[in-house]
Amino acid sequence: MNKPGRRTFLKWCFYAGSGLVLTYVGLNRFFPLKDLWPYTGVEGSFYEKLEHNQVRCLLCSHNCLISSGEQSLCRTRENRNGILYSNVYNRPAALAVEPVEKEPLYHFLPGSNMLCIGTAGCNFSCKYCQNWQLSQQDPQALDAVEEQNPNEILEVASKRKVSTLSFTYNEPTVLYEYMLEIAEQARSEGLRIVMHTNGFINPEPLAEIQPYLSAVTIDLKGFTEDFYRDVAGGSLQPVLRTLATLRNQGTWIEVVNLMIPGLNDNTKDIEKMCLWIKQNLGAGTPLHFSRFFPSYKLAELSATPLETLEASREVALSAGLKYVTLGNVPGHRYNSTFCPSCNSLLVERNHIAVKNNYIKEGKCPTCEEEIPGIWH
Amino acid sequence: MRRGDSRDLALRKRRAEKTVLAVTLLVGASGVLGQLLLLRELLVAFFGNELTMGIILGNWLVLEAAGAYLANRVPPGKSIFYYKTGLMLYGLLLPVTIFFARSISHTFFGLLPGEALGLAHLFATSIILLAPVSFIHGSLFTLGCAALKELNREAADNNRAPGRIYLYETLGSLVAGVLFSFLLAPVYHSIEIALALLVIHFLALCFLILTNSKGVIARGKIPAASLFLILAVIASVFFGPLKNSLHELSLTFQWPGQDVIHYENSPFGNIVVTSSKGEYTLYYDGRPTLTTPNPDLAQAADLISLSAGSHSQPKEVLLVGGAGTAIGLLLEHPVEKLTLIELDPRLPSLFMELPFDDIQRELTNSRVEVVAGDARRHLQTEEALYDLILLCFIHPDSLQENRLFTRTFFNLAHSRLAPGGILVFSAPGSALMLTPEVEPLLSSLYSTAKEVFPYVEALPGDNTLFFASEKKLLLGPDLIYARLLERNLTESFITYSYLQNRFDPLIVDPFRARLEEHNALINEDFRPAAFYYSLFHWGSLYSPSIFKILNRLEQATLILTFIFLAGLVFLAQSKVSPLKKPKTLLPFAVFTSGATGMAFDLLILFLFQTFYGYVYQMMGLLVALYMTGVAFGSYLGLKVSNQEELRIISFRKIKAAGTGKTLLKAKQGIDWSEKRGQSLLKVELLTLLLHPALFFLALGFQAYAFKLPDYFSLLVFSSFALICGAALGAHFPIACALAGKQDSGNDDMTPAGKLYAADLLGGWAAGLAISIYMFPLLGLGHTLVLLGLLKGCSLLLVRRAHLSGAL
Repeated sequence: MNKPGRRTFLKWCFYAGSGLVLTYVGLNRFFPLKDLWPYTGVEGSFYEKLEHNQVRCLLCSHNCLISSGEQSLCRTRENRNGILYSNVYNRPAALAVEPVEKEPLYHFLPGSNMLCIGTAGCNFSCKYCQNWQLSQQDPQALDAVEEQNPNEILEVASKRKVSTLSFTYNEPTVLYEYMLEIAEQARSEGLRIVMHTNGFINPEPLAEIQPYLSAVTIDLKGFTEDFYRDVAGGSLQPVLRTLATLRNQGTWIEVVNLMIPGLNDNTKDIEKMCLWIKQNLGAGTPLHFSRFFPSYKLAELSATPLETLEASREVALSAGLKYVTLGNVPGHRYNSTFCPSCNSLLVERNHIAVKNNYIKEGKCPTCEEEIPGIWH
Repeated sequence: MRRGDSRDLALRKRRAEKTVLAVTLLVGASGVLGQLLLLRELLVAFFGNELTMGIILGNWLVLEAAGAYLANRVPPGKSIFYYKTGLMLYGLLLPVTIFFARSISHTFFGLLPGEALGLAHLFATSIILLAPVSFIHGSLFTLGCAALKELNREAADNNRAPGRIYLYETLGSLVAGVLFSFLLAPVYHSIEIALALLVIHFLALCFLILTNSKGVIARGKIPAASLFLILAVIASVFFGPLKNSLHELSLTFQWPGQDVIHYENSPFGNIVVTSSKGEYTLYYDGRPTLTTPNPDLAQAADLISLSAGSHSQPKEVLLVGGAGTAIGLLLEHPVEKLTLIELDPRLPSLFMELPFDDIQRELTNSRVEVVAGDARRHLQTEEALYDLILLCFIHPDSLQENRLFTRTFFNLAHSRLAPGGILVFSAPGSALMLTPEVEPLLSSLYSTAKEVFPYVEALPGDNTLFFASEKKLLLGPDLIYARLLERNLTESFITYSYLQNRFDPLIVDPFRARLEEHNALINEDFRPAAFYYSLFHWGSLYSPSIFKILNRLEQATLILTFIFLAGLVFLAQSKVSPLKKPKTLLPFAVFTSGATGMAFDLLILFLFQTFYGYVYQMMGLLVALYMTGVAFGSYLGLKVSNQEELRIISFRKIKAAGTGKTLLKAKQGIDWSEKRGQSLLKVELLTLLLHPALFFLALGFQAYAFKLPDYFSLLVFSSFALICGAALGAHFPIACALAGKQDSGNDDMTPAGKLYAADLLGGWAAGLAISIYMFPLLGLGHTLVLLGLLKGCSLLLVRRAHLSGAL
């Protein structure tokens, strides 16, 4: 083989050099070597340090084992050289004023507004999530989010004249440190705190936040481990444990079940769930059956037939529950609350709007039956 | 051997050859039918997004290429056996594949019922599904060539085998495409057609077996008997109970837990209606678009209250889509005349046939006029003016819908708005903040509307609403609620407090500021950016990593263009370019023509969809006409190669006598190599000229789409498809004959298989690139320039090789 000449050699060098430069520029464009993110976060609570710079997060029942440089399953907690950081502290991705009915909380100051706070990330991966753009998001991806410390959040609440703060949209457990600090300050200023959760939190962190909570809405997503594993990416038992704990500690709880056709609408499971609620949480615990509409990954599934919701309500009433309502069905009769004793209309609702509230001092105006809840 | 025996043998061979060619026609027909059937089935499985057409067609082609290439490994003498086996397997696998296409998600990925597929799943499932059929179909080409050669070893024109097979296969495709568009698709469902093909394949196999063992298939009676048999079996398949049982069974897999009460393919898309516990759901191209009698009232009331409330006197309203809830809610406002146009003109009449009582009441209201037509056509051809034009729950998720969100459409809508009129449209949104997945889409729509309307207001929500008008609207809770009060519409959940939350400055202000800042592309007919951004949004649902790649692709457009151009310069100019050798140059030329062919095929389909919206029906016709062109081009190419072969034969004879090529040139005074090279150069040049032609055609149609009679438009599209096909179809046989000549000492199947594989690989690469990146992001003009440069590079190299005598 002939030796390449000087010119050929230089040409080859030029091609190789150009190729390298282009590859570097291209790669850096496509996969930046390091995403620059000025946010430093705050050290997380409830975790244990392990060997080799690993940590175990103990906030929720996933109990993630996280190596250095890795994130937790919920994407909000990061192990940096053996220290666990929260990446959503002071970073609310969503802040809005909403009626309490939207949670839903039907036995808690009907018709009042609350300041809702949510961040990126979630410890579940429900395939039908309504807020997937937040919950399934890496906090770093939301570069538009402005940092707001607890004081600033309380200032917004004061400006908007709301007396309730709600941690909702995504799972509040993943913003635990932020939530706890806001809750502590809010409590001192006389504000109420509510939380909409999947109930997957571990008992210890729950015990610490519980004293600050006025009410909790818990998504009981189904009543089988299979559903929790396949559809939500979690498990049922920790959720039941949280429900029972909150009940035992006297926190006002309401349970919501989104009925998805063919996935969690089996009558036997509904019956089991209702019996469990009655036995463990009490017959007066409000239960909301919500109608599913195609969403997120379940975009090709049809909406829940009204008949399924109505039949489930009958099952729940037969099981002994007293306050069973239907959600996502504007104008439906059972969107409203009725007295379990005399069947009088107590709170008339159309979707999330309260049209009339007839409850007087926590009692039915007709038969004076005590209606459990927080009414003033 | 006696002379009679020899004549008999020749006759038998001739007949056997005819049988193979007849079967090749069938292979071509069943190939295109299988492709169209699976394309339509997968479009439903993948949300009706036309960009998936590129992925599906591309994957089909590359798998065909693999089949064609690997079939070369079949040992000599075994080709006919493998050909027969492949023929039967293809017939058997097609109905099975269609069956699985309807239950794919559950079969392969264990997905939940109703769980949609992401881009990665789409790619993987299309490969898994298509692999058996397209691989076998691809191998049938190579095996057909080998079979033809095996039957006719001594023939002088043996090198023409690949070209002939290509021509007959293409002719088969043409016939099937026309039949599909005008006879099969409107009447029969996919499983019926696939079962009929199975029977025909079985009979073809019988013919082949008879031919092989007896030599002569028929002496008068067998063809007639066979024809009768064919008709009897086809009739039994078409009218027998099996096809419906299979069809219904597959639908239960596709929509588990629901009764399918209606299934049809309209010219615009696939319509399925299911029933469950008294609730009816209408699926359009696989997406649930309507629920009755209990629709999603929360969303509908929100949209209608805000849009009708945005106008002081919405007397004349044009509603695009939305039968089911929106009409009833709109009529609560002081609307004097409501004109309804559904996305698919078939839907209003279907609503009247189904047990949709509420919708029927809406449609028969005296204030409602239903137009069974296309919204774009209506705005371009009618002169009525509207106070409110509302696109109801239509999002730019497909080209069919995106054509209602482009600057051209907004201009049309603007011209049809009465003074003070408002155009309201929505897009998927995030009620809480402008998240990165949805930001480019919303920003693109906002910027596009701003190009046409002086004032555009965006309102975030689960559905982001856009209000576009000539005058500033100053929408807010006070104004809207005052109008609702005035119209006595305060009973619903749309209360003052609701509106206050809806216009909450905590959300609205940062949302609008961010929308203003973002610099997304304008959504054009020829660059459906919003459609591309919808793909972003859709992709991010399932695989955020793909979303990131797509995002980076947009940012890296300049770099990628530069790398592409640098690559072309390297290939064309470098001394170490692999294309210096004709052995690699010919596959490259065929690769570029394969890529250009697929690009033209897809761009014609995309443009037709953009202008007219019913490509779902016409894809068969357009593909068929394109195939006609390919067949015609192949025929011309074959003719050239045939003349060439005559010269090659003469040349071989002279060479055998020890005279060589120089002597041939000297003796005959004609350089046939030059003529052959010229032919290739001519088709390359013609292909290059088609690039600007397509661009000007598109410009013309954008201006005159509905001003021209439909038949004329169709004629122009068809003629163009024909010409493109002809130019690109001629490449293969010429290149094939050239490759055969260069490789004349060896078995010429290998170069033919390689060229076929190069052709299909080019198609695959172009299918993916055009669909996912080039057309939606770069736009038609930029895409054609890049494709033109690629073809130009090929032309330059072919010319150089030709001048140097290498070709």
